[in-house]
Amino acid sequence: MFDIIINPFITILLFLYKILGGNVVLAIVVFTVLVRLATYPLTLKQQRSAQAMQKIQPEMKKLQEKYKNDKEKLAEAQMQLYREYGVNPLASCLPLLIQFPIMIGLYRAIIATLAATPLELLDLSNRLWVPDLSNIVPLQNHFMWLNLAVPDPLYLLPVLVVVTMWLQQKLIMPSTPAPQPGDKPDQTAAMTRQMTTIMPLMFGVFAITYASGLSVYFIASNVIGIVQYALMGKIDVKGMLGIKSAEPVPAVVEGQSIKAEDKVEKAEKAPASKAPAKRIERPAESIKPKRTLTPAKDPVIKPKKSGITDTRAARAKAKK
Amino acid sequence: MLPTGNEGVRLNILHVFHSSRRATIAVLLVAAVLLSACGGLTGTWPGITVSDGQILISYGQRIAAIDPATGERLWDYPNKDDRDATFSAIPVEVDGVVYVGDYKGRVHAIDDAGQAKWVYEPDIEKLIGPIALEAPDRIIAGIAVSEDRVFVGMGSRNVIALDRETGAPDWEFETGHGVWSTPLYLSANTDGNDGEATLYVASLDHNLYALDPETGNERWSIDLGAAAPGDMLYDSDRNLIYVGTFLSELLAVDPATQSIAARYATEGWLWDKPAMADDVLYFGDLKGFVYAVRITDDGFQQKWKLPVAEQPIRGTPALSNGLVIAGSEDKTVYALNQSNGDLSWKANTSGPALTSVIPVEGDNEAGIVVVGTTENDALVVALSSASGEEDWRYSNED
Repeated sequence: MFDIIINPFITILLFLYKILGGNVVLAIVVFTVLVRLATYPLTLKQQRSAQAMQKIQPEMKKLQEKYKNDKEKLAEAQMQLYREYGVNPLASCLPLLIQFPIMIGLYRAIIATLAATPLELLDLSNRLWVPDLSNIVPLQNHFMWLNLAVPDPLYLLPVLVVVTMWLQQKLIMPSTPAPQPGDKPDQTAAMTRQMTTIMPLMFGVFAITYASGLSVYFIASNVIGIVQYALMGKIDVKGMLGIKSAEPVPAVVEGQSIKAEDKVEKAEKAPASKAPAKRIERPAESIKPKRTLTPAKDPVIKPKKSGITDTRAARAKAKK
Repeated sequence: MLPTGNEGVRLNILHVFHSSRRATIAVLLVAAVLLSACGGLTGTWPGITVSDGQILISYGQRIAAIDPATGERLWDYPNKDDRDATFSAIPVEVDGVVYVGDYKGRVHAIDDAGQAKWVYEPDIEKLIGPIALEAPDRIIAGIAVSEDRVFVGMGSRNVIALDRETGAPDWEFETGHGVWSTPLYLSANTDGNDGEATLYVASLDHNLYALDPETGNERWSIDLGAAAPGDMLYDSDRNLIYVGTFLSELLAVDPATQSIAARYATEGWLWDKPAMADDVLYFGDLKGFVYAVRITDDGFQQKWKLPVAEQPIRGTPALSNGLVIAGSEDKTVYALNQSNGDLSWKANTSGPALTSVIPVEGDNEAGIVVVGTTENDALVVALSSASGEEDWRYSNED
C-alpha cells in the first residue's frame, strides 16, 4: 500500500546520497528538509484550521458550562457554532492523516536503504526506480562512532531525540496557567501536559530500539520543525521558560484569546493618543462568521464580532 | 515528526474524543503504529546446510539438527533457558563440530551432542552500565574453517579469525562495509590453487579481498563494482571464483591474474552463488529469472534464461535428477529441466523459500531436496526431487 510513497522516497534518498558525496547523515537531513517543504502547504492548512478552532474556544466553554447536564443539546449547540463560524473540527486532523503515510514512507525509506537486515536489503531490490543506483546500495552506514543500521550504543542520539522533541513541543506550545484551587480541570491543558511528557519519551524508546539512522531523522525533523515554526512566528520562548508574557501571544490558547477580546474592549474605551489594538493578530479569513447562514434559534449561540472588525472599529474610534 | 505539538490540532482531537485521556491514548496509539513501521522487516531467513547425515538449520533463537529421513529434531542448541540471541547464519559442520554465529556477534562451536564446545564473545568496551563505545555486531554470514582457524565475516565491517580449538581471537581485518558472504578458504593444496593458502572475502563495500589466513594481511583486492552479499563458488578446474553482485552481474574472478575474467549481465540483483554441473552454472536472480550459463575459455555463454517466479529467487538452486530446483520468495519451489529450462514441477512451501535448495541422499531412490522458509510451522520443507511431492516438513515450535 505504501509502495507508491516508499519507492520514490528510496530513489530520492539514494540520489541525494550519491550527489552529497556518500554522506548518509547529510542525505537524511536534506531529505527531511525536502519532505518538510513538500508538506508545508498541509502544515499551513492544518495551522489555519487549528487557529479557527482556538478562536471559538471561549464560546465553546460557555456552551459546555450552559449544557453541562445535557450532552445532546451541547452537541447540537457545538455543531451550530461550528457551522456559524465555518469551522470543521476535523479539518486540522485531515492534513495530519495525509501526512502519516508520508512519514511512514520516509521511515521505511531510511531503514531500507541502510540495510539493517538481509530481508530489508532483499525488499529493496525491486524498489529502485533508477537501476543505476544499484551500485550504491547498501548505503555506507558508518558515521563517526555510529553504525547507522543499529541503535546508538552511547545512547547519545536517543537522548538528543528526547531533548529536541521536548524542546520543540515546549517552544511551540505557549505556557498554560497553573490551575487554581477550585478551577475546573482544563482537558486541553491536561492533554498537552501528557503529550509533552509522553511523546518525547516514546520516541526516545524507539530511538533506543531501532537503527540510529532513524534517530538522525527524528533529530533533524525536530530541529527543522523548530526552525519552521520560528519562521512562522509561532515560537513561545517566554512560555517555555515559564515567564508570563506581558503581551499575550494572540489567539493561541483559549484563555489568551479571551484576553485578546478584553483588550479590544479596553481599546474601544482608550483615549485617541494610544494605539490600543496594534498587537491583536488578524484572524484567518476562514474564521469569519458566515453571515449568510440562518441565525441560530438559541440566543446564546451568536457569532461574535471577529477580532479584525473590533480592531478596525477601535482604530477608527481612536482616530476620531 | 508527528505534528501534534500544535495546540489547535489537540483541540480538534479533543473534540473528537471528548476527553483528554482518551485523546492522549488515541494519539499515542497512532504514534505507536507509525513508529512500529520503523522496524520494517526486522528478520531474515534461516541458515540451512546438510552435513554428516543431518540437516542443520539456524533460525530464531536456536540451531536444530534434523533427521533427513523423518524430519524429526535430533538435538537443538542452546538450552531453552539460555536462548538470548537470534541465529540466521548458515551453520558449518567440520569434523563433528558445528560452527555458527549469532546476532550478538558471538561464535558458537557446538559438538555432535548439541553442547557448546566454546563460545566466542566479542569484547565490547563499556563506559557506564549499558552505555558502550560500540554496538554489538551481527553475524549474518557463514563461517569458513581451516586446519587451525575459523574465519567469520561480521555484519558491520570486519572479518575475524579465531582459534579453531579454543575460540580465542587471532586477528581482525577491516573492510569498508558489512561482510554478509561466507568467506572462502582455499588451502595451499586445493586443486587448481597452486599458490599459498588464501582467504577470500566478498564485502558489501564492493570489494573482493584476498587475505593471508595466517595473519589477516591483505594480499590483494579487486573492485566488483557493487555489493556482493552472497557466497562465492570456487571452480577448481579453471581456478576461478564466481560471485554475484547488486549490479546484476555474475563475475568470474581469476585469482591468478587478480582480475575479472568474465561477466554475465542478469535482469535482477544476484545474491547467492550458482550451482555448477558440466561446465554450466545455474542460478536465479531477485527478479525471479533462472539462468543456465556455460563457462568457456572465452567467457560466459548463455544456454537459457527464463522468467520463472513472480518474486526473488535468492538462494543457490539444487541440481538433482537432471533438474534445476530453485526456491522463491513467492512460497514456491520450481524444478526446471537442466537442458532447456522447461518446468518439470512446482511445489508450495507455505512460506517464502529464501534459502538455498539442498539435495539430500535419502531412502527415496530419487532423493529429496530441502528448503528453508521463514514460517516457523514449515521452517524446513522436504520435497521429492523427482516429483516435488512433499515428504515432510519441520516445525520450529517446541
